Amino acid sequence: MGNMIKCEKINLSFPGQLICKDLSFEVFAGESICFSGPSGKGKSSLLKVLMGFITPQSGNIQIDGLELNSDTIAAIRNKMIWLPQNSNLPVDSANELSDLLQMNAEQVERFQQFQDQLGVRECGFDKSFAEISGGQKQRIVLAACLSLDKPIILLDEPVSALDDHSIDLLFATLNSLPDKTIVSTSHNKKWIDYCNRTIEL
Amino acid sequence: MKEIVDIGIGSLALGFLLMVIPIAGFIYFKVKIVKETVIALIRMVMQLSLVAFYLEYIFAWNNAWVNVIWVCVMILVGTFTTIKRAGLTYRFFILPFAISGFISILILDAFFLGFVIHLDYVFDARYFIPISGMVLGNALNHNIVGISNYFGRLTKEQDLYYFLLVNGDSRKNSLAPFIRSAIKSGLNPLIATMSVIGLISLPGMMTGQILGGSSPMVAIKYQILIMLAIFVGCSLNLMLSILLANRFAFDSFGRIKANLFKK
Repeated sequence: MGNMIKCEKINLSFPGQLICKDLSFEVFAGESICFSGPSGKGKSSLLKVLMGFITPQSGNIQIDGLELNSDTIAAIRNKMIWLPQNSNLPVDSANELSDLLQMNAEQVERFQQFQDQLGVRECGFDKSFAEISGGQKQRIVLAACLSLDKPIILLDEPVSALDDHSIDLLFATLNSLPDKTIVSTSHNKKWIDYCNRTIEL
Repeated sequence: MKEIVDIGIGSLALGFLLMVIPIAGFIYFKVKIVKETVIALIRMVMQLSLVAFYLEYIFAWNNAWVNVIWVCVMILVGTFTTIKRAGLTYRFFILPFAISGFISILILDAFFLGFVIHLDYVFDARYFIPISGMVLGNALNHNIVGISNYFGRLTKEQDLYYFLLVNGDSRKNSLAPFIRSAIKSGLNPLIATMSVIGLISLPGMMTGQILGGSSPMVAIKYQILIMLAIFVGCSLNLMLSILLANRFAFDSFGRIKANLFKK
């Protein structure tokens, strides 16, 4: 199995805060890894490095064979989906979300299927996000992202707002997608145990 | 046709007496805009007096180059005012906003003055300067609203932009909701104005033409054309401003530059 993500000697720091020094790691296709560690250690920042939102001071990043730079960033992002932390997006319904993501009919159908699998089918497409819980909103956003069917899944604190039952549904959903490469951040033990590998920050 | 009644300086000064009403209201409600109002009034009188003075010369001279330079100055003043009022930094936005203003005026003046009104001399100061001024003046207001909305939302809701940038299929689509909102907010007031024009408002240009001795029919035809020009000009200027500003407001990774707004 080839590597999907390869990071070499990543040095990243913010004023007064060292995130990582000479960090190297590889993630193979179909593997799931988790950046773990206490809050404020820069786990989300490392995901942002992979998406090209933060440029590290030094280091090389290759994603699916492409060297991450300004010429390749659009192609690299097209291989990814990203569930942001808290999913605190200014979006009010699943319908609006599918419009914003300009989903085609096939993607909308998959969106419904993933809503089913993640246990948020009853929220439907029209229900306002103001009327549902943070965990439900997070699962709807994840269902929308998964329906886009891209090979790399970036999950920022995917279980922070979920109860045990919802976490099990999430595991079952991800298990049905064995060829996807998952990079996540979490300090939840259940999630860390689920992932193949953990990188402690 | 009747001669227009000139206003004496004394009568003009008398008009200022009415300002006592709003100023008394501001003082009564403790609205701290008295100073700004007085400064704006003084500026208005000085600017318009100067305009009257040099328009006399510009109209008498009626030289294409002078007229074009004058309109370019108006475009530049509009550019600087938009940037200042929207609270943006000058270095990123002077070029895109100035180019947008220039292209909008070029298209509108060529179309309306050349093709629609069939002027023999498109740069005739009597048409070229006031019509460009009307379009630019209106475009300025609507551009400020639209541009402030665009960059304000983009900065405040950057999580959504970045979410769409990764999960969506292109940068163009990730900006689309912000562009839609900016265009709506910038042009909605103009659409509202257009829909009630003549019913609850008589536009300044038409009133001026009628006072100047034109027949109401001629004044209305000009007003319809100028409203079309204003609407097209505002839309074109706003859309071009956003599209061109996008080239300067993001880095090569599509990230929003940190210093778009003046601190």
